[in-house]
Amino acid sequence: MIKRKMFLIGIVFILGFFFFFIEREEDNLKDNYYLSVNKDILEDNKLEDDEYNWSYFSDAQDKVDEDIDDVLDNILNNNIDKLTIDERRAIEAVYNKAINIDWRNKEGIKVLEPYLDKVWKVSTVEELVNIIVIIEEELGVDLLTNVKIVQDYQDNSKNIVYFYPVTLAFGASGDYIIDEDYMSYKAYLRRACVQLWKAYGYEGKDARAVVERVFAFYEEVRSHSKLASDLDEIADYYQVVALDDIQGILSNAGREYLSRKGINNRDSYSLVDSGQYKYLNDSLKIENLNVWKEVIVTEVLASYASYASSEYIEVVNNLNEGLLGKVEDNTLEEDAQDIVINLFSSEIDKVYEDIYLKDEQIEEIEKMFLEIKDVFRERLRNNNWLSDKAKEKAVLKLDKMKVVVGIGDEGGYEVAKDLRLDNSSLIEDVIEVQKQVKRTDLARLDSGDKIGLVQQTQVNAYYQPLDNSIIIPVAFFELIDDKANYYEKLGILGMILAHEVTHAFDGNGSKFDENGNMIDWWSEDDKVEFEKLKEDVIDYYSKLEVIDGKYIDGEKTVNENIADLGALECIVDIADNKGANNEEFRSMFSSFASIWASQESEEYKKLLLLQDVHAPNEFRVNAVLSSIEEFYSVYNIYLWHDMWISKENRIEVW
Amino acid sequence: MMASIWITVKKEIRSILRDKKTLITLLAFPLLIPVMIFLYAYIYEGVEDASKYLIGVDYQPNTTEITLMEEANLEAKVYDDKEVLEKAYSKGEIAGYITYLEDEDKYYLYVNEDSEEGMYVSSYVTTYLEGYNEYLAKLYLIGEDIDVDKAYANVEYEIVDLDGENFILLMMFTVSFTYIVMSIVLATTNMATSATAVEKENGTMETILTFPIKVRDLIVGKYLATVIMGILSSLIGLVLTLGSLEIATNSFEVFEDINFTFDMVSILVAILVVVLASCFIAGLSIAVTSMAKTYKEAQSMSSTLNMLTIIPMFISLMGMEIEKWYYLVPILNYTQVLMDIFSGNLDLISILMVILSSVICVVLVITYILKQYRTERVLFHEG
Repeated sequence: MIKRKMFLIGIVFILGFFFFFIEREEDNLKDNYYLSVNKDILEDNKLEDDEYNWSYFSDAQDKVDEDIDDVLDNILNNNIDKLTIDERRAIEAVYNKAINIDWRNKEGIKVLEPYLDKVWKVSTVEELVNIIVIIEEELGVDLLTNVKIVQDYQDNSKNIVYFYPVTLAFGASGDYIIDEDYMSYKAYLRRACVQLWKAYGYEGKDARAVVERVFAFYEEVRSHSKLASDLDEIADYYQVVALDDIQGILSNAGREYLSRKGINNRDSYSLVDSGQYKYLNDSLKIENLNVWKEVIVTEVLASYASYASSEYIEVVNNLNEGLLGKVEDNTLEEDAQDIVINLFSSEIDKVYEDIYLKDEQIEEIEKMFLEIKDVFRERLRNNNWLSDKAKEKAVLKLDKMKVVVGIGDEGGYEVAKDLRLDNSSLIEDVIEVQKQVKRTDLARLDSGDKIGLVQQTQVNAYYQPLDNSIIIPVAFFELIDDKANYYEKLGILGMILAHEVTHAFDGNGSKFDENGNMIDWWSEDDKVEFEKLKEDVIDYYSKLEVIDGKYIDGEKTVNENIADLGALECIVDIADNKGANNEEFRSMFSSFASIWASQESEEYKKLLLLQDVHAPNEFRVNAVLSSIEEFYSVYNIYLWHDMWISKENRIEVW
Repeated sequence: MMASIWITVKKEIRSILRDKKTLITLLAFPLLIPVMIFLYAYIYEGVEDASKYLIGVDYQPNTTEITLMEEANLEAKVYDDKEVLEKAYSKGEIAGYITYLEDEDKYYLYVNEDSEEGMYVSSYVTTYLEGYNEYLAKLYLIGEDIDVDKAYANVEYEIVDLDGENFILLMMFTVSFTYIVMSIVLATTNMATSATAVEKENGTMETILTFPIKVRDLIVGKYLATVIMGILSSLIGLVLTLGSLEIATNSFEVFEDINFTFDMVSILVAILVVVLASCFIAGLSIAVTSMAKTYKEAQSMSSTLNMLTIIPMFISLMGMEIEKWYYLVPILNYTQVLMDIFSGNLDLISILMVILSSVICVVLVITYILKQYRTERVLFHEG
């Protein structure tokens, strides 16, 4: 009897031991799905000392960059018939100049010196405004205004002038200057400016004194500018004013200011930050001449540092290292490649698309897009908080939404064909390119032509609310393994497409109608309900700790989070409709989790927390999955698992 | 002879195993070891966390300040103004408060430095503010393009962590191995009491002596049964100790950086030590309980042995230096040598000293027991 009891106890013990370890293995997945699914890939891709970031996306981007290498090689070896001879010659000329560091060191900033000499000679406000206009128009450096030609939000058949906020040296945000959370970035930006002046020829003490004054000016500008949080929504950039209003605000710049920029004869403008412009205008006084000169020189040197000699390039590298924590030194060839791609993105895109975009890829996207639209349409019709009228409009918007794979119908700047660059320095080439860009933009004010601003060599996808379309660059396909099964592709391709579709109905996208015009199609009740749901999403994410007591900024990331949540619900419905079994669901979920695998240095993580409108990748997986009902049933997630959250705390918007 | 001894061993063990209460007590005692290890680790970690102090501030700390405060064991709660802070402090909601005067660009800490809590808060706030000061100073140097390393690295130093005692692990070892020795004493005294005093009390001793079995064989059999119980209990304790320490050092932050490992050699040596300990303590238990007439009397006399086992724990916790002769003193030396084995201080001389002293003591105690049981006084408890 005793022996039998002992035997039974032993069996129970062994079985319990066995199941304990099996459950333990599964438990890891149920406690942190992202880390469990991505364990091996994260282990294989630990950061080296000189790296600040790795991700599934960056891996794909690295492969694209290698392809671009090949594209450039082919262009330089005259093996591409997609480009004209002039285009090819221009690209070749710029590339060779960029790679010739000896010549760049010899040239230095010679081309900029005539401009800078004029700056130093300024003795009146009129002369100051004059040189400001010259530098803005010829060098493309924004000093008093930052002009963009963009579609009119309320009538996207035409383009209007937008006055964006002026940025600081190196394109830095004004937040760096006054926000205490950005203290370290301010220090690095300041250091970069001191180094710029040292490279320009100033002694250390004098360079510091100049930068002290420049930063004092920046702080004043910033204190009169809108906060980043005031410019979170796309609608914040649409502040229509008349010509008289602009001229009133820029009174010290004189009535000729706008006409010299070729933008004085428009019916309306959008002025994003009138406070900043007023302050900049008011600072155009004789007593501020010296500080303005120093600001202008700083801005010009910062804008062209990457194209100048080694000591200026070093300033940019040091700045990146300070901001990102660790940075891998680019080779000269990589730098030259970056310069060429930035200057001639339209031309490179044409060639890249010609070589790498396949018809079957377009078909695959279009097919999946239709599947997503079908499901999303059903979800909209079954929505329980939108009014019937708004539902109709939402469905209409969805029906009219299109997907554009590759360049599409919109042209690019295509500057190469008109450039004559044989005896010029690299900086002259850059100046010439940006002049072309300005001419093209001005022409678009009359023609209403749209410009495709999405680079085909970027691994990404976008929703364009002004066009109600999803843009899929050619490089996007690097994310997809051709050998993957349908559900794995649904987890990647489907997820990203659905994410972009949901953007059409997030805090920004929902302000635009089916034709891409900013026309309100929501009732007040709809807005109230949507705001409540938005608040729930903000609360949910704001409680998530990332590192060292730092939490996700729920407000900054809300639109992306709404898109993630809506997208996963959508692809789950697709899988459901197709009768997917547990194994297929798991395949889809793990595929979804794998695209967000990433590693960041501590500094880069903190920078992202401050700036990125996306939640950290781990949370883009775990926080989203925890709100999906099917995830619980597929993986048997219960109360004691970390991935579990109570039903009332799970969130859903679309 | 061997057959008689073996029969006696089986009989004694069977009789003790039949008594469920004794069995449970014997097995339950070693189970206290993992409970004690995990409880201690849990409480120690809780104490570390609990030592975070809540302070009030009248400004919004930035992310750097929040990080520095956390590193300095502080948690900040933002209040509207000084008046509200004073009220919160007087209610005991906060351990102290800091106000920041923008005009003076100065922080003021309000705390009672005469209290223990206030002393800690003052020290931690100083750490936070000095850390913040240093951080701002470094940022200033960076902004001025001055080499921060040159400015700050005039004196370079590095703390080299020498191998030696680890306080937390020492505590765990001391208590755990003392428990193992105590479990040997508990097991052997129970067994010895049952084998001697209880038999005399029940009158079964006289009956057994009528059987064709020599007294010497009888006593050796009882002794061996007692040794076996001691070994069994100690092995259970050893397994539980090593297993618990292995899990605890990997699960609790308080054991971070502690490298606790064990290999086959240390396990084998430890088993040898507990066997020797069982042999000696079993003999002592038999010798002591044989003097008793009844169960209660035996329990009372054997309690002295229990007291002896606690002495090594006190010596270790008081940080007294262990002299070499210590390894010759039975009972005291077992705990110490087990600690040496698992803290990587395995010393052959110490082991040999323990073995030598144990063997000598075991021979002496067995000789004494055999001599004891030749007297009628012990056998029949007369006089």
